[in-house]
Amino acid sequence: MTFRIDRRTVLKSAAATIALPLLDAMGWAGDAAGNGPVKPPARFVSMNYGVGVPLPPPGHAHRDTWSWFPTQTGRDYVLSEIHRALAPFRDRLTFISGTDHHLARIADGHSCTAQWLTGARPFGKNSISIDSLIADRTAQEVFQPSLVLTGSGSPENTNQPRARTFDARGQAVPAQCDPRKTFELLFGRDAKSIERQRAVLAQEHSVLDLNLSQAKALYAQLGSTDRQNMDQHLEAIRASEKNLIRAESWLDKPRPTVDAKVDAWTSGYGTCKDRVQLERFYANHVETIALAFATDSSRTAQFTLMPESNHGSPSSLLGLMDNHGISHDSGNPDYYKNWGLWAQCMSDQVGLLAKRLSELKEGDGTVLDHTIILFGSQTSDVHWNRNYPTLLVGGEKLGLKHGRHLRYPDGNFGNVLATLLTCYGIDEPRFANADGKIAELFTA
Amino acid sequence: MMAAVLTAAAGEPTADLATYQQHIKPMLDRTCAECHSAKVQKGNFRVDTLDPDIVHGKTLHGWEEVLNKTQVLEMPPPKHAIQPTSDERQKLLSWLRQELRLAAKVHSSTGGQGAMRRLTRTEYVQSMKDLLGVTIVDFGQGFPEENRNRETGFANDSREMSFNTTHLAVLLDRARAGLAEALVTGNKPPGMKASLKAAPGHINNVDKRKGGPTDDVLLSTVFDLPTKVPAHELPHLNGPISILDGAISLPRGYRDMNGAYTHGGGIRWHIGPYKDIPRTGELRVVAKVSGRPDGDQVPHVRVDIGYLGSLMSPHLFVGQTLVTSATPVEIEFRMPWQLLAQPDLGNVIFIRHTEPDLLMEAMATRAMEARYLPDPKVKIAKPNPVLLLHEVTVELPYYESWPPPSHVSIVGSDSVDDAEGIKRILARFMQRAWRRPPIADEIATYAEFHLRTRAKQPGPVEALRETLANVLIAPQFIYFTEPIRDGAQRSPLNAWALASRLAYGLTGTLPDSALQAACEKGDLTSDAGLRREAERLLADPRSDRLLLGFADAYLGLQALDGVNINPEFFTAVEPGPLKDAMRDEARHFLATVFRKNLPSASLINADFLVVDRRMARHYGIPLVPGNDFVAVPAAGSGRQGGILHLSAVHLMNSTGEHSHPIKRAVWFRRNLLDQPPGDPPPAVPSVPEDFSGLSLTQRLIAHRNKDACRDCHASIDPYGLPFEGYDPTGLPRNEAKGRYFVFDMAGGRHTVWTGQAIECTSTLPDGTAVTGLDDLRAYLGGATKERFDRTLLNRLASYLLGRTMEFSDQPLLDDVAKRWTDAGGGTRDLVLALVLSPLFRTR
Repeated sequence: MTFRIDRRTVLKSAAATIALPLLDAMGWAGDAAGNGPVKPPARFVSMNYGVGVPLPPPGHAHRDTWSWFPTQTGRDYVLSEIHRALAPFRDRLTFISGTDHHLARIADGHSCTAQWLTGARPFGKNSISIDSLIADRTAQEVFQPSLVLTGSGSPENTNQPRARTFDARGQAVPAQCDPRKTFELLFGRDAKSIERQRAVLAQEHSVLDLNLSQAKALYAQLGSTDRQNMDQHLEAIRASEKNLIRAESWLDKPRPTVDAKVDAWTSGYGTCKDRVQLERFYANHVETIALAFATDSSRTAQFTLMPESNHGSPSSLLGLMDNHGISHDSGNPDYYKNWGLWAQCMSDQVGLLAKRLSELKEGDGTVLDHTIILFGSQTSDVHWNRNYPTLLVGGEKLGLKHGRHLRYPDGNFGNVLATLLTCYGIDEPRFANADGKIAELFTA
Repeated sequence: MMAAVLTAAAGEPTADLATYQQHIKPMLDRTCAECHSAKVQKGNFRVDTLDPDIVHGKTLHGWEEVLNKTQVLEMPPPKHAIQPTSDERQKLLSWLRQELRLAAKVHSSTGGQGAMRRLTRTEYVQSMKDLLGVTIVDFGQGFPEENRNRETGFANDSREMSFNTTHLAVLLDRARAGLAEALVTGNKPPGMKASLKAAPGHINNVDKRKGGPTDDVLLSTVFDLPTKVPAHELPHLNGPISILDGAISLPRGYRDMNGAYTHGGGIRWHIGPYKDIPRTGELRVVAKVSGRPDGDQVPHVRVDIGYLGSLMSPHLFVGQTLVTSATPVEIEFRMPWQLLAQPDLGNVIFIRHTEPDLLMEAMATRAMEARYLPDPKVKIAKPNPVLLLHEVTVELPYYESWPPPSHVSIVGSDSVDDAEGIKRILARFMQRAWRRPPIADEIATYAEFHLRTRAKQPGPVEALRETLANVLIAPQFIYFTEPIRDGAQRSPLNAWALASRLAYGLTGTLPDSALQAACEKGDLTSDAGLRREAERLLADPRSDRLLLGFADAYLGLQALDGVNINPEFFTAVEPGPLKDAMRDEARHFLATVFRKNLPSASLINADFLVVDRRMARHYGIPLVPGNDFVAVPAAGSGRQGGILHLSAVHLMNSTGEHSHPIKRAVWFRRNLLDQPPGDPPPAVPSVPEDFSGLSLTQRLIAHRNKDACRDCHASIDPYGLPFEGYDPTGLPRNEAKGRYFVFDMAGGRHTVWTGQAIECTSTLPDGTAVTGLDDLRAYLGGATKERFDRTLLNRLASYLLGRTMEFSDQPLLDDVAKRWTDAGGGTRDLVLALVLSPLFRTR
């Protein structure tokens, strides 16, 4: 990949703007030296949150105003109050209702989060998630191939079994809750000299080498049951080794300089005191994703806005009940409205990301043209792990056609994932137990 | 039937084919076969080819689908003419749940060997503290929480543990941080020592601007700094100080609603900033105090530390101790100095007189005053305990000696700059960390690493730190290495592996030196040697880690984290501290039963309560002296002893506002009887709105009468209703508190409190009628006592071995049960029986 960014380029950015047109900085449109345009890379974002979405039954007073899925299918759908932030993108999005992972049906909706992006069978070994698969294909080209983010600072939610991102061996990839840490990882300037950094990395190499030799010595003495646990350890060493090699390879390459105000939220939304802070917290995460994509530092992001647990219950920052309570408060006349207000806050974040990406011009369009946002969850109604809430935004230059509500009763969510993979040149017809592709996504 | 299968004397369970033939097959043939068999296969699904032996067959997934579709009444389709009877449906569902659970257990079997497990987060933190002799580093920082086993809720299950790059990075980072403190270079860092005492007539630099009324104190400071400290930068006091009987008398401090001490109370001592004093080591405060209680009010001395310059800056709690002695006693407080991370700011040390229950009491008093004493001029006589401060010294950084004991215990008398010395240091350290003597090759490997590192590090100590950090991320430290070969029969653990199991099981940490000596002597594997060591460790205060930790796991106390007492519902309690007190009560109750070696029946119906001042106050019984938990007779207290009456159990199975009979019932069945009800089905039908207005019991009954809910709830709710006589804070009640809101014309919201009748009578599935918790307690101690004991045994075995018990463990568990009975049937006897049994000593 040609990398023509000027190291002194300074991108001024509050949570609202990046001043420079990045397409020039990145060289997607060609440069003065006569190098031709380069096709911008394909990106993928998945965003999700836990404990379901409101789906008022037919005849309910809030049916049209607070239903996550539009009540109409086809082209003439109307967005409910929930998706107010997506109104400007009404013709750039597609709702898909009726699908689920059939293998995950054995678990209740709270217990199969880990399978949302993998389609594996719950309670067993997991398989690779779609974001990891896409990231792995471009791992050599970008600084930090994938971002794995979460809103909750609770350790249990950054680890198994509530993770959403899994590597090729089915191991959970830990998630970061603090947008400042992500920003530092991507754009932080190490005060140490390159030589000093290289020496530090070399030391870490020798530490890993020693650990690997010890682990192998132990491995040789073990039976197969024990080896399964030791495999995890060996894999952790190999993955750490890969990270070191990557860090070393980027020591000499130019990295964009980005000045942006991203605050530290050390406990995720647990740090937030009110709604204003919660929205700023999410905006900081969204901004970091946008900056990572704009500078081509990353190509995939998985962002769990709120995990499938009651921990921290950010809904209380909106003056609502706790998250799990909202979903079960069916005796309340405002049941769907209250739930919808929370769903709206979640959808707002997707709207914000779509807006930011659509403002970032590159090549012959905007970053959003080359980014597919998958927004959804594996829980729809109360505890119900069918009819996954699913919404696709953007990615027209990757082939997607939009502006519809597609409905596939008893459909296979794996087919959605396998179809999306083809936008990244990945043909895995059986990915996530897919048994077909959804041709409608590519036809007007 | 389940019970019979689970406690069967040997090995593999068998599938319940009789029920299939008699009840299930006829029903499937009648109601499902029309659309799902050889002729027609709607949804590409057949019921006639499903293997009735779910446990060993290959059609598990198909049966799961049958369960899912049937329990939510999706199949047969409601419009279909032929429907199973309600009774048939229930028979099918309970058969399926029972067989699927058996199948899951069989499929996850490891033949009783379990998988090699690593140290849990808790075990790791304790091991690092003990190994390095460092208390001021937070070794748990960044270490992910452990996953919990779905069935037992335990966090130390080998199957649930993960290890990824985060773990590796954290282990390395924490090892380096710990060794940076444990091993030191150069001379003792510069520091200071200041002291303060009453000295009538003495004049010094007490800050009078804030109304400091007295010069009658002597404040002296000794510096050990390279540069002289100017007079205006000397430590000084702030605020009024009163002198009583030749000592400083500290007024009682009050807390605000957030628990912060903003009112009154004690001495503020301003120190620094002194740039020459490094932020390493500890801050040490020694207070020489005496106390004069007044009635049940006992003074406490409390130390906090904050930053100078802002009242709003965070204050760190250092410690708090009860003072009952009329003669002066010295009390030491220590905290890591590096926790105060702003070197540019000076610090203020607060020494206060407090009473931990004060807020609780002050709130109750205020509420009473508001109600009965509308005239604010009328005061209630308040107790007046006295706390006298005779002398106090502050030292920073504080080191017991130099080099500190942590350094000496690792390095000994060996030279860190000599290859042979390094080898001896490594050999000692590796043996302690790896819980076995290292072989020569291993020592050589690390010595070689040290040599390479030495060239890149500024000095020999730095190189040693880096080398030992590597010893502490080696799998030999992180894992319980009990090597076995595939297909090998159970065989005895060697002495070192056994010592490791024993030490972590009973004391939550590495083997101590006596245990290592027993390994070296070679008698640990003998009955007598093992018994001697186990009894020694059980008598050691460190065995609290087993008893308190097992209480947490067995009772599932982590569920308390997810519940908060709503103070609007329960006024006159201080929610946070009360919850902590409840957790402690549950832990100490269990620990007391085990410590006294009482029979397991005492867990159910002890004739005593284990309370401290906080819980005694909550229960409205006479306050106990001191801060500790003590056993008091239940008779005459108006409360019952036993785990069912622990308020932690009532709170954690509630919403913090309302009791939750279903959670209480599930807890009862899962934690005490190992009979967890099935998970709620997906898309559990929500309670229809026309139910609202009914009482909780009525709603439960209505819910239970729906077909989709009946099967499960008929076997859940009856266990939860008897708890209804207790509110979420564990206090007895005659009605349940509820509330609703009314809105006035101006849009204002008003709360209306209601009392709702409670119903605590139910009929258990076996036909036993119970009214209230006392009846349920009698039932637990009677009809289900055997199952209760077996569950206790299984859970303790899981806790000590770090794995879930399997079918193949049953014969060995039976053996433990027999040993337990033979030993006398006490709870401490159970621990010993387990430890001495083949289950514990072999793999």
